[in-house]
Amino acid sequence: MSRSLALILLLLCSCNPRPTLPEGQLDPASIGKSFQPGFLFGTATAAHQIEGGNDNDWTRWEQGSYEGGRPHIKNADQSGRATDSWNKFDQDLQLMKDLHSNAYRFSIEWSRVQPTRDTWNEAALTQYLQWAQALRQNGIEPMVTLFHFSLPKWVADQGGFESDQTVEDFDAFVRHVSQRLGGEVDLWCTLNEPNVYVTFGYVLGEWPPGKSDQKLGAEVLTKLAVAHARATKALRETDTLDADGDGRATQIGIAHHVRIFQPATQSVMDESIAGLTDDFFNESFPAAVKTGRLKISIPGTVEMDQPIDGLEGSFDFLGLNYYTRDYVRADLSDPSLSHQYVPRGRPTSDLGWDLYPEGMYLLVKRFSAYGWPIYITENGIADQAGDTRPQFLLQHLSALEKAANEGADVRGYFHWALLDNFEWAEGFGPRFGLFSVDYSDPALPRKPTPAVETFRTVADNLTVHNAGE
Amino acid sequence: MIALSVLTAAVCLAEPSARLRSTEFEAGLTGVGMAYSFRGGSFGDFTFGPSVRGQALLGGGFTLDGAYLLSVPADAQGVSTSNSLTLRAGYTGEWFQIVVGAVGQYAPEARPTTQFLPSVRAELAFTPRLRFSASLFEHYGVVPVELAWVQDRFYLGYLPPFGGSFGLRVPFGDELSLSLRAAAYKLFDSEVAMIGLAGTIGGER
Repeated sequence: MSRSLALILLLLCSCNPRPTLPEGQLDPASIGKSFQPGFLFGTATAAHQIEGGNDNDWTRWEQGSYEGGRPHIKNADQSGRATDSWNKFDQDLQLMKDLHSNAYRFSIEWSRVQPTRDTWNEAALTQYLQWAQALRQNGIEPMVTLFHFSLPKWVADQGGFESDQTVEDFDAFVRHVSQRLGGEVDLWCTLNEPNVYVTFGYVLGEWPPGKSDQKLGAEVLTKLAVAHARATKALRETDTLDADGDGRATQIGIAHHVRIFQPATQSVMDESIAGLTDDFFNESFPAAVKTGRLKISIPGTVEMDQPIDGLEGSFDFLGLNYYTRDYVRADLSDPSLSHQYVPRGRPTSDLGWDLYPEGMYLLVKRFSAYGWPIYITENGIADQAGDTRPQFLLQHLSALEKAANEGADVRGYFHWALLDNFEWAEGFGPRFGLFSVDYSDPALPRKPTPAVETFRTVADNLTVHNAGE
Repeated sequence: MIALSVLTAAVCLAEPSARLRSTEFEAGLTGVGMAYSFRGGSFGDFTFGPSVRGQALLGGGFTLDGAYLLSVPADAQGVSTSNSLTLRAGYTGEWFQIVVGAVGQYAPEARPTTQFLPSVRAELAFTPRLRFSASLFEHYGVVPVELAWVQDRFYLGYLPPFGGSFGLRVPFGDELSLSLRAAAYKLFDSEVAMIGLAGTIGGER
């Protein structure tokens, strides 16, 4: 009996405690003093969301609708010109300079670089190379994402990442990009949010290819893990040029979307489903890279435990994309096995996402246990008015700094996003940009939001702090 | 509350105990800790609150069984407050008892606010002092499956796949006793622990 009692007491006391963060308005001058020298403080975007003029599986999806007529994209928006960043990079670079940022994460649009399997658009690759060169010349470290949700149509037509052929084609794409950009780029994200891609594309059916099949989703996640492992090998073989002189030609990771899954109540059903959701969404991919085996368990649907060649040891860092927390109420009739919501009364973004900076601390501490350096590769808020973003930014940086103070190896923070953009199925409605874009004006002018001054103050703190080291 | 009133009244109307169990009522406090684990840690909540449970043996072995737990979270940033009500009906014979019903949970802040789970307990006596019980969503619905040996004032249970439970009843006088129940188990990635202390009127002593 004493052993049982000890077990119970251990269980009750062993949970990671929720942190206490500073309350009230935070002063930007107080943020950033604990980050390590060389800390990257920048912004992030993705090709399909800002470049404009793309022709890929997403542009096809944007033209479609569900049975019943509801368009795939809210308000039937289409990415179209987006923010025309393909043609306005110089303007966007100036925005980064105005922020005093020292890093920029952007992605390479596969469909632009390789419009058919046998065609390489070298002019496009040259333009990406010029971007990387311009960034570096301005003291801005480029971090390049190689797959950020959009596929060339010819890849989508062969089954996307359901197909082994796509893994081969992605390998060839990565090698080609790496050979052209490797001299200017050291930081690579092979994949952006594979868990989100699978969840929205293969479980909820809200993104291309619009399927709802958990088993297929697990198979696609496996293919993505294989693709990541192959891409890592390709990058290490082809990018042998150390662009920043730190002695390392490549540093490779993924941008992994993480969320806090809070059981709605003490119901064992809520708890179990929250745990299973967390295991699939947050844990499965990093755990697979740590062990070399991808394990997925969805009772009654998927039981997978598969070794993947080259996966173990394929991370030099882990990128975390953190936005919010979900309350999880068990609902076995839903494809995700739960209804996820934000309780009434919580502060939320324009998209209704819970504003929970404590989650940043909890997740950074948690994933630090893997031993990889951590970059926050995305964190941001949909805030059209722009008045919530400054404190959002400071609260999340404060949480990140608390984790760093407690030993987490945090190397950088990329705010999502540099400027407003096409937010996938939500269309152009959500405004994530530090700089807003006036879509009604053909010139698509960029205007600073109040958070720009906040960002700049923190960036200056970091510069002064780093100079003093 | 109606069910509890019925149970309380039934304590006073208890029939002679020629059956496996007798009418009883108890009230106390129960704490529940739940967490799901991951590499290097876990994420969990602790709730605590009043609990009542009881059983009334009516005429002909007809049995009403009920329980209520108010779960108040220790941390306002965690799970929502919830109310769990178990209502079961069945039959108690000389050597066995079975009660069947449901656990309904109402959490005003959750969406949806209600959740229902089936709840069953069956008990079989091997000797006048040794019994075996099997139950589904027992202990206010906190324990999904429990297989237990019951001997006099003590029980020891197995909670599949990894877990255990025990209970102890210490008598005070002719009708009163103090009950301690505890359970801990792991299910998928979740770990659950429960402990409850209650005063009991009637039942086995």
